[in-house]
Amino acid sequence: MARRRVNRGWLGRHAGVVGFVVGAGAGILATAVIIVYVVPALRPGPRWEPGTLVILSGTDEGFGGQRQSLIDQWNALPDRPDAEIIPIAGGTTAQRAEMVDYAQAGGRGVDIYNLDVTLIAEFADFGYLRSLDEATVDFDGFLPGPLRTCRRGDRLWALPFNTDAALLYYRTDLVPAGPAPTSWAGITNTIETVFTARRTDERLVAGYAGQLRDYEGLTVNAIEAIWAAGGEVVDDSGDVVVDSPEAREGLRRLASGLSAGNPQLVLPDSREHDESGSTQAFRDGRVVFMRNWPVAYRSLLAGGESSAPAVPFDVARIPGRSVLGGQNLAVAATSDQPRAAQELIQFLTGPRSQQILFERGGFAATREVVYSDPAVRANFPYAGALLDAIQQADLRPVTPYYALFSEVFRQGVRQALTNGGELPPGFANRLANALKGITTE
Amino acid sequence: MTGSDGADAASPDPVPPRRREVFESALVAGAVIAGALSTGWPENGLQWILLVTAAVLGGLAPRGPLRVRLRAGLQPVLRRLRPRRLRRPLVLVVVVVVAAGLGRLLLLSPDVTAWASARLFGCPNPTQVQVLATPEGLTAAREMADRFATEQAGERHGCAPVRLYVYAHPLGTARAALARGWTVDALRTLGPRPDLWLPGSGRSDLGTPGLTSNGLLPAAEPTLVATTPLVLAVPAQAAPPDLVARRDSLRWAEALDLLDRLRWSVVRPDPALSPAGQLATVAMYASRGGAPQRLADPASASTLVGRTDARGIENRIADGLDGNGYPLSDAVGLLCHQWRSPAPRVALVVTEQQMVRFNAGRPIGEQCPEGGGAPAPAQRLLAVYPVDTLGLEYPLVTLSWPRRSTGQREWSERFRTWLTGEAGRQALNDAGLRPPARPVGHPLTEALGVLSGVAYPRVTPAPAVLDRVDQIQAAAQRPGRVLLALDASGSMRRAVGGATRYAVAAAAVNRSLAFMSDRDEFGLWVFQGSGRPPEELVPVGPGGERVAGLPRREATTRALGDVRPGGDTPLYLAIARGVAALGPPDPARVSALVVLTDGEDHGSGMDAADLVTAVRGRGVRVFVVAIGEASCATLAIREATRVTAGGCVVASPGDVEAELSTVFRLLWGGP
Repeated sequence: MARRRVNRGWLGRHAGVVGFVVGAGAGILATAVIIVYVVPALRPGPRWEPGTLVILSGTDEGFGGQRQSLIDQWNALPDRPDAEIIPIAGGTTAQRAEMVDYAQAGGRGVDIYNLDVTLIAEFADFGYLRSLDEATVDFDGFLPGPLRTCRRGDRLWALPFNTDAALLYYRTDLVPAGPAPTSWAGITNTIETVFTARRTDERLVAGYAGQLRDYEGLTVNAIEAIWAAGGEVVDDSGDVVVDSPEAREGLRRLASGLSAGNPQLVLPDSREHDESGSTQAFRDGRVVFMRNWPVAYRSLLAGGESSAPAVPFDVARIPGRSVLGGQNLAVAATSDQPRAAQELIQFLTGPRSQQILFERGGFAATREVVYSDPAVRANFPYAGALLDAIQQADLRPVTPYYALFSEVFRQGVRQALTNGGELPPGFANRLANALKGITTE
Repeated sequence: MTGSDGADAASPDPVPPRRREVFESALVAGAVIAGALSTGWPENGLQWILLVTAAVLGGLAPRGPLRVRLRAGLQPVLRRLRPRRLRRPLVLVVVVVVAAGLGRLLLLSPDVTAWASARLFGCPNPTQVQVLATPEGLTAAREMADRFATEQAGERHGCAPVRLYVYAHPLGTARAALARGWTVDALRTLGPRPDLWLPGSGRSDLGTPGLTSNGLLPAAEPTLVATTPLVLAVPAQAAPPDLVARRDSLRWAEALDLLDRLRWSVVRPDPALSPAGQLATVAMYASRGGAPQRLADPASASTLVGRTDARGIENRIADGLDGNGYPLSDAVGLLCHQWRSPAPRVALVVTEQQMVRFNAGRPIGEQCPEGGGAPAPAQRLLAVYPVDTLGLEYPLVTLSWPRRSTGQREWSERFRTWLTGEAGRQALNDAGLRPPARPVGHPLTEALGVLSGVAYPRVTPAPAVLDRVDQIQAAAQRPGRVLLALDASGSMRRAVGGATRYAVAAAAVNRSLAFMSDRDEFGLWVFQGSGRPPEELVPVGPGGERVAGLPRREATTRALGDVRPGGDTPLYLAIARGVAALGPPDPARVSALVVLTDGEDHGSGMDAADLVTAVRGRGVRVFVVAIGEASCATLAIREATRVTAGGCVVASPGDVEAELSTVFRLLWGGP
């Protein structure tokens, strides 16, 4: 067989060498890729980033500085980065302003924000937060309502640190035995009964006390009054429906209760009261009923070493739904320790921390298991009513412009309270604009 | 509409060929896109959607009914165009320009898209700026901020680009916190760190190295935005004719002498709490000393009032406060009392602005929530302007912290610029202030007790003068006769930050005693246990006198250390017994009971009515510092402090020392 002479060229003539070089090059390249990219990715790195974790929070309004105690416990754990709390004095408005100030200035070293539930939308939408890695979160036992306040869109932005729902406090020495009234009509009937019956307490001035001073408490009280009358402020599709007859009825009840009457249904001083003012009025024996947060329960018990409170009382659910309050812990978008920050958040919202915060600090827990603990039920008789209230509680309108919404809402409500419950003209439009951050009609 | 229309104008043309139609559509759509992009790339989804939609519509325009209508409309014009061959190119050019213009002006016009974007998706995120004012200037500062934000929102379809949070702290407190760089401690006790500071003040050293020597706070040069003169505000209907006749021609010294002769009282805000009170003291002392025009010269510090005259002034003011039930407070507190219980023969030393707001029924201050309604005409005040009066200045200090965003810096500056512009000056006038170089209008009118054209010197006292006045005033002030009743109930054992409440309170008491002079009298009680009377640890006596062989301060410290908290809180009993122990009042001293408690009354066997009866009319002021669960809202505490012209303050564990010191500063006399 004749051999065909083929012109194979240089490459063809040196195929062995070329193959070797190409193979070696590919091998070197593959090895480099593995060394540079794959190995580091597979190598277990430090679990948490180093550095002190900084939590920006409002001041601890609970008993005994329990939040700091939990941070001390965290700091005592081995191999964890230390943590510290920067507390901000002032009410929720001041705290929000300072937290936004930090966020807009690039975080200034803050890793975690302790945010009022109404602020999650603002902080998430405007890029101040980093969403949490849900794969590592222990969701077991979180109450659904508080957890819902931590979601925005399809992401989890925070975990609930403590929750809150209003309770109806009532004088057991004046309100007839049996279940407490569950409607506004029931409350007014009971007040009339108490006042028309032979008075047993000369200190009694009015039937009901709420928080109607010009601050967030007024927003909350007014929304609850509207809900109790079957109305809504903003419906499920985001439309403002505060013009409905039911909503007007809710405000009318408050307004007419405030106006002089016999008996006086709503304590007129409520217009100057925040939570502590109402608590004092109730403690001073000036009212039969009071709407307040659960922290007032322990405040009413505290004072001296004698166990008897100034007035005998019990709690029940308020008529209708309560506004869901509370605070959520979220990782700052600018944190350079996001993994460690999330770990700390999970520690602070874990079942054990929640039990400590509830039992010692008076904060309403965000984990259901705390309320079912027999010791808790025995030591804190209001635990059952509180759990019930939290489970029925509802969110205030969710908008990144909540601060503006609340301000505009209060302007209208203040006018309504002095005008027989009638809202000012154009109020619904202003409120709808405020939901979008628009300050004018 | 298209090039073919030019031909159409001359004679009816057949339908244009399909190729030309496609070309024209593409041309118009391209023109729209080009016009739109000439303003920059779309910034959000809405702008992209608008751009695409407009381009499609533009592309469809040369086809269909619109074309027919336009052709009919343009025909008369185009027929006149000569030469005929120019018609088509000309129409093409016009169409392209119009399409591009529409794209530029309509589609990506920031106004249109901003309006639509706000309504569809919400406003852009406003920049947060914090503005710190003084308690006396808070309501006016809020009015300024609201007006600025509203104006800015009006220019942006209702979207406020900035959110100003306005709050207040006393001048001295703010100054000290700023000088330390507004540390974490300040955040914990005072709250947000300010970007702008609007202190109403007579000080000229607010933005100078004295404030910034630690390098933490490089402050920009303060900008003076307004002034308001100090006046003697007298009830208009009862005003002495002699005084009214010379409303703007008497010196401070002459006006005070005239009021003295007419047996009128004079009350002044406490200089320790009020910049207006401090500046008024300068004016009164300088008037007696005869050097009001040279106060900017540090050398004038040596020509102020003599000690005897100063003591005479301070005694008269103290008598006026005590005799008419006014609290030891700033101008808000005085006017609030005047609003509740108008005194007919009392002249109030306040600023013109404070008086005008009072007369107009405008909010006076946060501490006076019930005030703000217009007073009855008989209770309106009339301003008397001493010729040597001084003006309280409102400088705006920009605080240039490190690590602020560009937006925060920019909006701080814009607010400053606005305040010094016409709109801001009008707003300042409306708030009752006098912006520089501008005639004033309502509410600074005779109807509200003002001489709008009055002249007053623009003199800012030198810091050395202010310091000297503080010294003279402290020495001239009545010494105090103060009993401190400290809660030692079981709840004071509760932990706060690693110590007990009692330990925190005891430490605060020890440090606060530093302000006590040897002329002051001081005693210490503790109360604990149901039904038990308070226990005297240190009897009331002069600060310079020894107790059981020890200096009084040391004896106090030792006694506090021996107390073991426990038992109930007989709070009302302690207050009632304390007031009784301090009476009867000594006109040469301010008598006060200071109570520090963390809880409610338990075990006194008294109710609120009993307590009020026990303390009313005894000439002893009751002050309460409430910590823990204690509250100033308690009916009994509220009434007991009100009827004694005292006060109540809620303190957190971190600021109990500051609050206690503030109370003691009001009460102690000087060395």
